[in-house]
Order: sequence, then structure tokens, then C-alpha cells
Amino acid sequence: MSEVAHLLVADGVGVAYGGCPVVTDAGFRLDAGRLVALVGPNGAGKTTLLRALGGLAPSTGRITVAGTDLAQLPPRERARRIAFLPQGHVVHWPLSARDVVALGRYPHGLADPSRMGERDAAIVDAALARTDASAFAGRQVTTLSGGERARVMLARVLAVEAPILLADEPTAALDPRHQIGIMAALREEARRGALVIAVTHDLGLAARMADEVMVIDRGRIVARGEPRAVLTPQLMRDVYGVDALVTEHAGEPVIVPWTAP
Amino acid sequence: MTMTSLARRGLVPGLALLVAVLAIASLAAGPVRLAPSDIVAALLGRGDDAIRTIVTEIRLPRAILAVAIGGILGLSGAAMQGLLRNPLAAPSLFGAPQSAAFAAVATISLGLNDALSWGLPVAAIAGAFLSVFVLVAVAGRNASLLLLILSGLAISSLAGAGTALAMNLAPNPFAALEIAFWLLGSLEDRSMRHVALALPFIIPAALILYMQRGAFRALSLGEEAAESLGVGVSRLRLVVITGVALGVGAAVSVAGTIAFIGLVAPHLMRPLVGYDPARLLVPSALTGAALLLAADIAVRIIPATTNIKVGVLTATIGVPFFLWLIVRERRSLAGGVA
Repeated sequence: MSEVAHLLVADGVGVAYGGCPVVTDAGFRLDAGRLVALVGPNGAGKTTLLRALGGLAPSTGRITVAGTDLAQLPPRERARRIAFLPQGHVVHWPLSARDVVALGRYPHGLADPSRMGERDAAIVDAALARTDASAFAGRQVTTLSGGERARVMLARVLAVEAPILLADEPTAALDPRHQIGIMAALREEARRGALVIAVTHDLGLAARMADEVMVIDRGRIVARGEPRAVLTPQLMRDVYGVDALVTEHAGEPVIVPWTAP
Repeated sequence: MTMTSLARRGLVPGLALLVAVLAIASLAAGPVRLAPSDIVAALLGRGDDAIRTIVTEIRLPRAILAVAIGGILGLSGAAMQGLLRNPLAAPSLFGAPQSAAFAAVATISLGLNDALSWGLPVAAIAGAFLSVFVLVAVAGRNASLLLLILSGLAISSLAGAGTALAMNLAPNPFAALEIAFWLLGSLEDRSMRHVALALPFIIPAALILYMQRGAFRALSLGEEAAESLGVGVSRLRLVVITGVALGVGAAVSVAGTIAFIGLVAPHLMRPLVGYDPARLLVPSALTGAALLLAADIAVRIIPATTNIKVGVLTATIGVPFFLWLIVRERRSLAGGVA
């Protein structure tokens, strides 16, 4: 191939659950160094599309990662290239925050976090520092507040050091300070060269932080592009069924859903 | 921090030492009390002929089986808890030993097997596999406590009913007595023949389960996150079911049903390994071995007119423990901690 391959390419991607199409004909090319906000109403297929991109849901069509067919990648290899942060920040056992973050090194062959090598340990510490979670690295995650736990879980996916990072509603159920903090950390990750795709319902934050917004409605991508160009009052009416206040403050876009007609 | 890591490092050697001490005590305990020096001499093939026979032919197989069976039951419990991410998961609660016993009893009643043939562990393993497979299939992906316990109850009741039917249809009292043997687990009068029958299944089972430790740790974050880290969750499920079935089935085929070791052992060890489901495996196996050795020594020491069966003893201790666990879980569930 003479042309440089895009980092993540979806071509006619569809996902159906029990014969019922959830995502239809999704297609795009995305490059490294971008923060993409995937937005849309509840049930539009955001999570399903994200799962398909992560190789976690069976899909039709074609997804390639740096030119390699996603379906051809062995699980470990796929896990090294695509880090995935699921919804809800679940941890079933009261592990220490540091052990949770060390799981990010599992795809790289780290079997036991108590016997971490210097390189893995440095990566884990750096990930904890980038999400401002170093202070409670030794605590059990079950004793942390929702915001602290979200930071630990984000550090876990950062520790994978994957070129692609998929995050499913990373800011859900967080206070405003943590919402901004998490999105800022994701944007920082994009600045460091990763492709970050984050599902979110916070359109204001998406408009301010993301390089690109991708809008999905009833399983189809209906709009894509620079946030100000995409998130217009017309789109808010068409997709979300709300009248929204779309304005600017200090040179940055502000979107406030106002009334549901 | 250093204290805990020091304690963690000493945990496995400490438990191994405990198992070794109990194993020697197991060789010493019985109608003929033996001194450690006699035992060592007998094991080395020296000393009094009668003592040598007692040690190597009567007590050694019993001690080996206690270590192997206690170990695999502890390991299976820890593995099931890791797979299902639930501290109440244990093969005995899910009807695995009961199903293995039923399969063994059924093949014997039908005249397909006798008590010392290879067909017996194979049948018991198949019974255990079927029960755990059905349980995991019924309880599904995000197994809740209630679903697990209810389906486990249904499966063990069904296996119990099948065994009762076999007893009911037994042609004579002796056949019924032989069937009852599977319900009252015991290590009495076992020979090296039994050891040879069980170990070829128990050792691979232990290796299979131990090799999944990293996947159990990844599963702490839920199935989706584990999958994204490169763990093949559906494959893992099948591997763990196979390992548990091999271990539990082989154990039941030589010793009958010995319950609750798989529930108790991981529970005792979990706080000592920082709740890590991977680091839990080896200490649970060693604790299981120690518990069964201790129970098997206790049944020889407790004064009673007839021998108490070790399976009866573990159940009498295990059931109250299980109740206590339920009460604790109930509190934590009511407290809203997921």
C-alpha cells in the first residue's frame, strides 16, 4: 500500500441483535491524535457501535486498525491496540487501585501485578499520575468515591498504552469537576497521539473538548464533523427532539438543551 | 505495606508447612498411634513390618487422597468464585458433587461399572460437568446471587432425587448401603488403587484451573472489560467448567461427596491475598488440603461407637458457615454495596 493507512476505518459496519438491526451501514475513517465524541439519543446504538469497534460485538462489514482487519487480530494483539473503558466502572472484588490499573498491562503479558517489572511499574504510575489518582493508589477501589473510581478506571485503560482508546460514557454520574477532569484527560491522551472515541450525553462538554462530533440516530451516523458545525439547533431538534440554546462563551461553544416541545 | 507483602510472601510456604505437618499427623493418628520416627522409618522402607504396612498401605493412601481431594476442592471453589465473581460460588452448592455421585451410582446400579474401574471416575466427571454446565448456562452471563443459589439448589435436588431413586430401586440392602457410601464422603479403607484412579484426573484439573489465574483477575472488571483485555470469556467459562468437573468428579468417584471445603477455603484466604482472585488459587488449594486432612484426623480421634464419616463432619461445620456467609452477604447487599 503506497497510501498511509488510516488508524481506524469502518466500512459498511452493521450490528444486529436477534435479527433486529441496532447499527446500520456505519462508515468513517479516523486518524491518530483526535478526540471524537460519539453522541446520540438513548438507544441510538452508540454503545453497540463502540463495542463493534472494540471487537467486542459481532458485526458485519469491515473494520480495520492501521490497515489490519480487526477480525483477523488475535485477542491479545487486539487488546494491545484498542483499550476499552466500559460503562459503570464495575469492580467485583475490593482490589487495590494500583492492582486495577496494573490490569492494563495484562495484554502485554503481565501475569502478576505484585511482580511487576520496572517498565510496567513506571507505566502504571504514570497512568495514575495522569488521572490524578496517585494519592489513593494503595486503597481498595470499593472504598473510593464515584469520581475517584472513575479516575482509577481511566488510568487502567491509559496503562494499556493502546493507539486507540474507546470510552463508553466515561463521565456518567460524575460531578462537574470530575466530568471536566475526565474529558480533559481524554483530550490530553489524544494530544499525545492516540485516537480517542468517547460516548457521551454531555453535549456542552463534547462541543468544547472534542475535535470531532459523530452523531448517531436510530443506528445510523447522521452527522459528523467539527462540533460547532454539527451541533446546531436544527440537529438538536431533529435528533434529540429538544429546542436548545446554542451560543458562545469566551470563544467556546455552549449548548444548553432548553425545552422539549 | 511491607508488612502485608511480607505476610503475603510467607503465606504459601506457611500453608505448605501446615499441610506437611497435618499429613504426618494423619499418618500417626488411628487405632495404633505411631511416633514420627516410626513413620519416617516406615516411609523409607525400614522398621517393623506391621508398622510399615499400616503406614504405607492404610494411612498413606488416605493422607494422599486428603491432600489431593482437599486441594482440588479448595482450588475449584476459588476458580468458580473467580469465574462467577461471587464469594458464594462453590461446586458443592451447585450440585456438582451430588451430580457426580448420582452418575457414579447410576452406572453401578445399571451394572455398567464396578467400584474400582476407570469407568467410574469418567461417569462421575461427566455428571459433574453436566451439572456445572447447566448451572452456568441457566445463571447466565451476569450471574446474580439469587439465580446461582436457586439453580444450584434445583440441580442438587434433582441429583439427590436421582440417587434416592437408585436407592429405592436397589435390589438388596447391600446395594442400598453401597449407594449410601456416595452420600457420606469418606477416606476410610482407601488403597493406592484409589490414588491411582483419582490423581490422573485431579492433577491435570489443578493445572488447568491454575493456568487461568490471570484471566480471573481480569474478570474482576466484568466480562466486557476482561474481553477487551484479550480474555476469551466464553472459552474461559468452558475451560473452568471442565477443570472443576475433572477435579470434583474424580474426587467423588473415590471418596464420595465431601461438601463445603470449596466454599470455606477460599473465603478464609481471600482477605490474606488482598482479595485478588488470582493470588487466591494456591492458598485456597493448600487450605482445602489442610482442612480435609484435619477433618480426616478428627473423625479418627472423636470418640464414637461407629466411625463418623469425614463428609458428614465437613457438612456439619460447613452448613453453619454457609449460613453465616449468607447473613453477611445480606448485610452488605442491604448496605447497597455492589
